[in-house]
Amino acid sequence: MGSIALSSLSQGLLWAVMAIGVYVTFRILNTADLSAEGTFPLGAAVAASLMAAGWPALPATLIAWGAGMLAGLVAGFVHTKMKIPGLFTGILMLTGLYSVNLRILGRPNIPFIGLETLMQRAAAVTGGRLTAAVAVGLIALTLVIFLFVWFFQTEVGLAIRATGNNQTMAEANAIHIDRMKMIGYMIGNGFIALSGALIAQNNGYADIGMGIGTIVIGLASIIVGEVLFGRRGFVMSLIAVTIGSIVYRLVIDAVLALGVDPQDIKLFSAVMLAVILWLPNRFGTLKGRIRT
Amino acid sequence: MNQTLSIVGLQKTFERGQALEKQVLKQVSLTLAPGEFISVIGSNGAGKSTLINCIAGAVTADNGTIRLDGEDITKKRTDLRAKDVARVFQDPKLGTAGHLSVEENLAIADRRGQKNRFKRGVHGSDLARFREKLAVLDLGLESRLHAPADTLSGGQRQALTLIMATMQRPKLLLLDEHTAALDPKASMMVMQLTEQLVREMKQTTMMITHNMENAIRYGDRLIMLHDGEIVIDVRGEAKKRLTVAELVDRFRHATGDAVVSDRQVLSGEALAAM
Ligand SMILES: Nc1ncnc2c1ncn2[C@@H]1O[C@H](COP(=O)(O)OP(=O)(O)O)[C@@H](O)[C@H]1O
Ligand SMILES: [Mg+2]
Repeated sequence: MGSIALSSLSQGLLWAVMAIGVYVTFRILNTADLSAEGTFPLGAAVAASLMAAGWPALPATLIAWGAGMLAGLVAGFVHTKMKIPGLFTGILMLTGLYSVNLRILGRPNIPFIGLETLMQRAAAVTGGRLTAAVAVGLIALTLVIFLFVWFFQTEVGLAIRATGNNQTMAEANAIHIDRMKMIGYMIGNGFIALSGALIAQNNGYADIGMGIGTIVIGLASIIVGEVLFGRRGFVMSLIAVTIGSIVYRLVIDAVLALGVDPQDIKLFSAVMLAVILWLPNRFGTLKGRIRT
Repeated sequence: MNQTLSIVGLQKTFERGQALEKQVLKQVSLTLAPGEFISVIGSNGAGKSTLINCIAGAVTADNGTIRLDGEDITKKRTDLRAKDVARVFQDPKLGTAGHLSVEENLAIADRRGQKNRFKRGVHGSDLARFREKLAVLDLGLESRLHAPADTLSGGQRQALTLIMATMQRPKLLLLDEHTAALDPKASMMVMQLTEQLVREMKQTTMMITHNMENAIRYGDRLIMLHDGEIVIDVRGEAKKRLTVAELVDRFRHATGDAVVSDRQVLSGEALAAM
């Protein structure tokens, strides 16, 4: 039981990086960006193929992060310059990225057999596979939260937040809205791809299908965190997202431990998100806590 | 030349070529001298907001030119002209970013038109100046720099928006019924603040108002838009002597429409005041 909890914790931490990426587009830019479904496996594919080609884990992971930012730039371009609504932008991106990811992987699945992942390197220090995953998760998450908090308080960061929050105000204050949205898309999808690269290494393989349901997990983590903690300052909000992500994992792992067939888990996730979204509307007490 | 704003032959038609086609601005020409404070009145749908939106860039005119300090800005991108053209909207929520704190909103306005960098957005060295600006309002906002703007009342938010709009002195300040959504007390407060800022800064300003009395009391000049045209333009001594009754009279005369009811011209408030 303890190891299940530790496993949920490590998974929760690694997935929280993705959820924070979704938070950028969903809460800061105020768009539900489905690109996540494509950029998450993109990160995994880039890291896996680079490592299979002999790259060490760390640079491969960082390049995967960069690939996610590049995909975010494309999404931002499609959305702002081609004026395609956010929802369609996401659909275009995830569809297009499926082929891109297949190209990068070369086949539907690359195992990390015989390759030294970040988790294996960490395990040399921590002494255990699960503790290594927790350590990598904590380091990545701390880095991401630090970058997030710093970035969104810079001049550019304020401009992006204003753009997502109130476009009229942003424009009236001479903010170049399209550019800010593009940067926001880049940051968000960068985090999502980074998470994909980390989770692939933790799972021991990169798979073309691993992006399915990404957005559901991301949104569920955000909403669970907000229901539990409300919305406060950045640091608290991101910690809430992280805890939301861990709680989400715990629930999934508990359900699996109860004997639910793993192939039904996506259906379970979708139903769970529907319930999470429905509950606050049904029971007014929580309503004020979720601001959109 | 040497006009701050010079509009020539401005035309705008919405839904062009469709059943609902509506010519909102027929032929508007108008110049504003530096420092001039002009009030704009007119019935609902007269085209007042459309005029201001054309100047600010939110709406693109079909014909005509808009010059600001001699520069043709008719087709200039909205965010680029925002450096010179500041706005306060009717809806107090539109002027500030509600999720951002008071100081973050001020910091953004303080950098209007400058390049955004990867440097801290709110500089500690700016805070004293922010506090000073807010203290003038006498609303206690100077001690609420960290409060999200959406925790402020409508009047407070509108006052903050005014401060933001004039922080980087714009060439032109556009106010679109900026007190209409406020309760009478807050409306009065924001109106007085407007007058104070505009006078102190000698700020060239165009103010749309639904309130005839305010239009008469404030500003150096008054124009009335009707059906997409300027039908009344009063300034100087004549403007100072103007009364609501006289204005209604002149409106009837100008439009040549004796059957028009006061209600079309006046808001309920102004009617009650008569
Ligand atoms: N974006 C738009 N599309 C279509 N019609 C519009 C648009 N904006 C304004 N109108 C119409 O133009 C007319 C003038 O509107 P507006 O300039 O807002 O009037 P005012 O501010 O004087 O009340 C109204 O009939 C309005 O419905
Ligand atoms: Mg209007």
